[in-house]
Amino acid sequence: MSPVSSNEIRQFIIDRYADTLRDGGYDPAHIDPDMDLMGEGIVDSFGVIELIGAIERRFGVELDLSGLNPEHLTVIAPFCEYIAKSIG
Amino acid sequence: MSRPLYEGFLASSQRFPDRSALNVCGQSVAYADLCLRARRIAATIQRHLPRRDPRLTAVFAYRSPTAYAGVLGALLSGDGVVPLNPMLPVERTRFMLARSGACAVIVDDASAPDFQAVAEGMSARLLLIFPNNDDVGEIRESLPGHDVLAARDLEPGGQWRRDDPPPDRGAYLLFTSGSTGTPKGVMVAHRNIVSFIDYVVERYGITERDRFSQMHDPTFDPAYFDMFAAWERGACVCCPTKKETYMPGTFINRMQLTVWFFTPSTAVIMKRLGMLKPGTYPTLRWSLFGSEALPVSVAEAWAAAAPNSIVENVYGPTELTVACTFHRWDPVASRPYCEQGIVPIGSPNPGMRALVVDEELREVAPGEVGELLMNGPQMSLGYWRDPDKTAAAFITPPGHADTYYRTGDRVRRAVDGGPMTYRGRVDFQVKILGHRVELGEIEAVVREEAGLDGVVAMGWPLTDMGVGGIVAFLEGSAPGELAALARRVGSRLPAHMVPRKFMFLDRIPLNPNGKYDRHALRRILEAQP
Repeated sequence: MSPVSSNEIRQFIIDRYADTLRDGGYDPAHIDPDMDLMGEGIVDSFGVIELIGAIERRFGVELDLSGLNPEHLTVIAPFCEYIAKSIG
Repeated sequence: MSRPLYEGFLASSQRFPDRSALNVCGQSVAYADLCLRARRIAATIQRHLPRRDPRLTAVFAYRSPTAYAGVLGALLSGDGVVPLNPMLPVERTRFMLARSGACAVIVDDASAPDFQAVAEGMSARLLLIFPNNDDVGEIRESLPGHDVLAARDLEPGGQWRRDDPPPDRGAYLLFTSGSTGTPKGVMVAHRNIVSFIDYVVERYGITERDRFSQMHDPTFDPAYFDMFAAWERGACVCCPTKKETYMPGTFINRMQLTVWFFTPSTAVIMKRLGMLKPGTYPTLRWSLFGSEALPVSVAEAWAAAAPNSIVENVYGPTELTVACTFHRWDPVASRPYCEQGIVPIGSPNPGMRALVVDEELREVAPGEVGELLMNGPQMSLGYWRDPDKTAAAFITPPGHADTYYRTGDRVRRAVDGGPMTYRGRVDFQVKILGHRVELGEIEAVVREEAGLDGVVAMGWPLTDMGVGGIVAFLEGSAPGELAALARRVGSRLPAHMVPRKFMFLDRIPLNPNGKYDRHALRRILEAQP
């Protein structure tokens, strides 16, 4: 399995929600790494699990989130770093 | 036995004033503190509404200290509590509040803006108490038809006077979704819930060292287990933050929980996200599942993940007060009783009686399947201000002298003291081409053949005669060889029961109570071309 960088995951997430981000007044090209997708209403509780499923399919991995700090669940930078680390 | 629901909490507050009664929003609230907050709310209700009818106070709050102090405060005032959920649509909340006839509402800080929208449409004059909000000028201005009290307006705790309710007075009024779309209010009396709490604290040997999960929303009756079984014995109720509810595993370990109680669907998701690895939750003593069918695969995975805990499947409609049958999961002893890959619901707790009947309400033979009727000390007072619905659901079967509640659930009648098995809702039987079909049976086969735990079968499309066929929803990724899955399922089921379509979802939607949301699935089907 080739390692995936947290940047690739970040880009994947931002592309996935680009329209919603724009609707919310955000520029997908300049997203604050500390942005909380759930806090900003970009994803809801249902969307979180969908997102995890989408990441699993896109990168061909099975994610293990047991080590993730819940407060980081949808905060872009720490969330992507955690996933990159757990895949690598 | 005959005592108010809050008696255990008051006793624990005397015995363990400094122990944590509650952990919420990252803060720990000691018994003495929570008791004082509740007494101040109770004294305020008593002072401002000396005569009120009905004796009901609502709480509009969510996962905050005030949410819990509000429930206790309403009860200490002598009223029953009507829990409202700020996460539910405003219209629904307004309906429940109006329908209840509650005269007072306790609102927490975070829910105040939402409550304004609720109260604006209310015609009855309400006493609105904001126990942790001193800045209510704006609210007062925008709601001139109601009396608004701020934190500084609360009475001192010493002003509270005991006004013990009779055992038959409602302790809580909960609204369950009605098949007609109008929520039904179930009124549960003090004696009902006290009888249940007495049983479970003994069954689970609860002590002041226990730490309970509080995953259930306050509008869902298992929350009354979480709170009052804990408080009865001086234990701590641990309420997750919103995000922690999506990562329950971290919550269990961070809070060092000893008693876990929630829906199987959440366990299915945890298993899928790698949160049920063996030995992950060593602190748990009890792992309780309820509100929907518990798949064997999930019970096994959970038992391994929480190796020091005993897994139990509990069953009970709101009308019978939280839970009235219990089954202790044992990988060997339970096995012969598992049907359709589902753990049995077990046997009634002492005092509760079960009757399994056919369509004419006559008892079926042991080992036969029929509708479950039950009665006993946990049988609630019925539907609030709805004698017609109460009469339809609380019935006297032929040849019996007493009233039973019709659960609408199909079970296999116990044989020789064995457990009862759950066979799905009466309404989950669908008719396809004249055949009566149990959706649970299809779900069991699809679960096994797909190797996925989250499966819901639905009759679709709806026709005048019943349904045209079956659609299966699966939680997970579609396999490469979908045709092979269909073939394997087809080899085990008669043709009319084989799903015409397998729809894979990352997650099967859950309703606010954490159960699979069949209405949402129907909307997905309706949106299909």
